[in-house]
Amino acid sequence: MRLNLAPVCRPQQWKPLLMGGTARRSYAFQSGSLNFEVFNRRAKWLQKERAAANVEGGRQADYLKDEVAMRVCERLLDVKRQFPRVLDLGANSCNIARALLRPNPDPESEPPVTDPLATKITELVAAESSHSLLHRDHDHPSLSTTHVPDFKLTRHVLEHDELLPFEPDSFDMVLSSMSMHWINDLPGVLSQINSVLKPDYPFIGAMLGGDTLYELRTSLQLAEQERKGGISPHVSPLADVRDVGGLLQRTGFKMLTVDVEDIVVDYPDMFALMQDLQAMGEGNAVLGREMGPIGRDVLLAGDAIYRALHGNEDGSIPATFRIIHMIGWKESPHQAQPLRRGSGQASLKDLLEGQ
Amino acid sequence: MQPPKATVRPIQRFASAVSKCSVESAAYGKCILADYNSVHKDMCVKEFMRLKDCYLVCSPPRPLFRYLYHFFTRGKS
Repeated sequence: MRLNLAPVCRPQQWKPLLMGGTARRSYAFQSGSLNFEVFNRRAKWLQKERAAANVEGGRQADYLKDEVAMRVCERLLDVKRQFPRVLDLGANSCNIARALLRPNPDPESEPPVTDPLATKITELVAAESSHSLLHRDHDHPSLSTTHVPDFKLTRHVLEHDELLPFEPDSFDMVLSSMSMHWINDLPGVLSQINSVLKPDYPFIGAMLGGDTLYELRTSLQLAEQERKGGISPHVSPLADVRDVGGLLQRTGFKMLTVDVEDIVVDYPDMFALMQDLQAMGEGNAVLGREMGPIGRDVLLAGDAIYRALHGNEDGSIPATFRIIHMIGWKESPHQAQPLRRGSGQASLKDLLEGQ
Repeated sequence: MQPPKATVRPIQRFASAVSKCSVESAAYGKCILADYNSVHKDMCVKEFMRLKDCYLVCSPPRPLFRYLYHFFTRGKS
């Protein structure tokens, strides 16, 4: 919207209304593009590089990412299609590839031994901004593709993790697991995903959201408040389920599915949780956080409060990870469409009462 | 190949010292929990100092200047 019209095209009779001929903004509105900056991208990159340098610790701390990647890939069992070229956005240490290569992904199926999910895929492009993390498990047996000869894993290091350098309509599916919660401009990235997808192909993603790590957040807040008299952010702001549904819709995805899953992990103490988060590369990267490590006093107080406020009977402490799963399909004219409103013939009331 | 020597990180040393102070830790937690909706600075300073004293006693010997630093700042920070 532009109010500063050139003088020639401004109608003469508007002049008195516009307070002496000067155009004035009558209400506040957003000018230019929105600026989403929540996380420090460079700090996140450094944390990932650091996590990748600790190979053994990183592999041990991959339990959460592997579990989520497995749950994401299980959703592929419901899609009876082949996906020649698939993008894994924010691949971390290729956790999705590991989950796809896992033998016998569906033990409850009719033939008790099923092929790995990777048989549905010809090429998986694993895109990640941290080179060391992406190549950490280069020679690890869990990423060996000998049992799926047609599957090819391509690693792609992203220059900028919010700009996808891929052609439009070039992928048959986009997967993303446990990395989209670090993206500053989520609407922008989702619309880029929508653009690189071919029509009528899905985006299947999972990210941390909602009340993730609320125990750690509250304990550190209380500890800092009591010790220092003020608080600084230690746990990222996260998207909520409602936000994700709205975002997917806004960025043009159709036939949405959004659901939430809580994974609760028990730790011996708060320090073990924080060490594991560091080994995962999931340290704090919020802009405007207090630089440097958390002080000893706050840690001491935080652990005591964590135990008192959230601790389990047996002396361990729980940490909640809330995973938001999302599925969206790129629009296509051949997709199943909802019927026109009011065109239903059968009454749901009769159906339900008849049972 | 020789396995690399296991290094103990400072946070692990810290955690093992803190784990020996469960009584003091519980007392401090209880004090915070009693009124956690209006926590203010030094609300539970007495309990915290007991916890910190216990932690300092349980932590492994540290270089002399650090010990002196902690000795002198014990009542303040």
